[in-house]
Amino acid sequence: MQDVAHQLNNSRPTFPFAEVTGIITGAASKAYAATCPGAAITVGGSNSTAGLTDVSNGAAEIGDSDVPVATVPALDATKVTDHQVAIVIFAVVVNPDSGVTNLTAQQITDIFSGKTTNWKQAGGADKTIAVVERKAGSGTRLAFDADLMGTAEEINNPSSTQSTSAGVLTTVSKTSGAISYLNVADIKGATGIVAAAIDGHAATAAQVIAGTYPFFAHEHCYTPTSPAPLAASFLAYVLGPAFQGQVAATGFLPVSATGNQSAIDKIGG
Amino acid sequence: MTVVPPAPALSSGVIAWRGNLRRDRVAGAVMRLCAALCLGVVALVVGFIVVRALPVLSSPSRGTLTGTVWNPDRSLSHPLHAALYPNQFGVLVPILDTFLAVGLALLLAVPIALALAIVITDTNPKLGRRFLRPLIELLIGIPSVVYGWTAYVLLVIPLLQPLAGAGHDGSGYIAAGIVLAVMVAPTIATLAADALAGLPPALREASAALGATQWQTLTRVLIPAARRGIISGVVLGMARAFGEALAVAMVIGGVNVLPDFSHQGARALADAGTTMTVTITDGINNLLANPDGTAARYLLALILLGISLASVTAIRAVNRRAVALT
Repeated sequence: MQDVAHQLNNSRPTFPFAEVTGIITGAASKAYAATCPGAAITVGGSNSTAGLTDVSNGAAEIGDSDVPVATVPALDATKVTDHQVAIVIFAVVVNPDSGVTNLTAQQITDIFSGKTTNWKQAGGADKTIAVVERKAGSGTRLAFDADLMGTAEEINNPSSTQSTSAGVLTTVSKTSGAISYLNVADIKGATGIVAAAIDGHAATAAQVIAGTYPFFAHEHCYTPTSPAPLAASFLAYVLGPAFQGQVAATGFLPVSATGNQSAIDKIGG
Repeated sequence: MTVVPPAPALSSGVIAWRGNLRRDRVAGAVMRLCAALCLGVVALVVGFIVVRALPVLSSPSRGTLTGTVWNPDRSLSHPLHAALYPNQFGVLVPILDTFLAVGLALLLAVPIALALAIVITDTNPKLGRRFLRPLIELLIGIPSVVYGWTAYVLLVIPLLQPLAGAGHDGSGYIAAGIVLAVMVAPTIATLAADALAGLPPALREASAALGATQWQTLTRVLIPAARRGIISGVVLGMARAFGEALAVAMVIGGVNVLPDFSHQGARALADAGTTMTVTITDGINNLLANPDGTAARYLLALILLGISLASVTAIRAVNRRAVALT
């Protein structure tokens, strides 16, 4: 590995990341830089859609995304190669004063499509629901819409829309009656926010593996069909046993953990 | 052997003059080139934005341009059923929302800025010159992200959220109006103070000699006389408010709807909304994935550019008229 990096001192792969996949590749690039001091890897931040489009137009050598390439119809799928690097578990999150810890998939659809507006209707406190959405193009939103909303549409006049997971975390934990969706890794250790179980199944690795929890997605690293050597060796590292062994510690699941596919994973597949 | 006679004194003067003339011509040509470059860049910018905005007029969703729903990335959330969820380009939504936020900002900023200017020039010049003026100039230099973040932490969450009521997180027009007011008031105050300070002392003396109180002097003599500078300040402040994106994006909520005055009355001001700049910023990540949405945002950029041009023209018109009157 030292040799590869040495040859490629001047090649700087850049990869814009979908925030969520970025947690994985960010951790990986730090670990990788430690093993290969010559490798310069730049990680930029954007969303799942940009992660995909930046690779297809050559702006980046690796594009991270929460979603399959088929979710962006404007993009030429033959120009990119998909490398699945981990599985992310998402959760529907609520402010604790909503009084709920479990929601049915139907209740979630009704809340985000505006049919249910008070927590009392979903078995919680008598409190108006504040819906917090992610902006269009977010991988978390795409996964939520595919895994839980089906053909229903998120309302156009929520309490607010947020551009980042951090924004969702802050807003939900500070807003009375708030509900949104987030990846589980970001909720770890956070206060003032509760991950609701869906149909009685908690947002855990065990439930994803058992096939009872629907809200998860495979994390993708996209490269051009012939990736640059350093990008290829970086991906080999990410997919190798050493790094995959650490994935669980970051709040994700290694790809080998389960063959289950969520609704978003199945798009185009 | 012929001897070349020494050139007469006059002739050396002529040569120097010709040299100067040549330098003048070269300098003139360079300046004309620079002016042409400036105009060329402006023309290119306008042309580029117009060309980029054109596809929205041929997009399948063009019929929604006059509608009241602005949902330019709607199809992105439904990759499997994109045809069922066409993008909606009701540009009126971001335009009216922007005017509401900027209007609120000016409503707050203009009286405060005028009061500050009067303190600096008339009622307490010592305090004004020593503390207020430097402080105000410092405020102009603070980056917008600082304003946005501070407002979110100190204003939106603790104060506006309870005011907005259940189901709202406090971000919205009021928050955006307050942040923009704080950001543009220093600009307006500085220009208004300059205008007031630049008035001939005779105006104040004559007014005092007629027995006018300070209030009468201010409202009937000084402010009318300095209106040119004050209006310029207000227009410049307004232009900055229209163009501000980051600070507004952090506090307005980013929700693409018109304020619901008919059901909520004045309370709708506490609801989340959007502005043209905010919705343009939202589209950056989806630039290539959603070409029609991108074109619609170029249309908004064109409208913003038009507002800037109108502001500059307004300032020039005000100044010309004021000059004609004096």
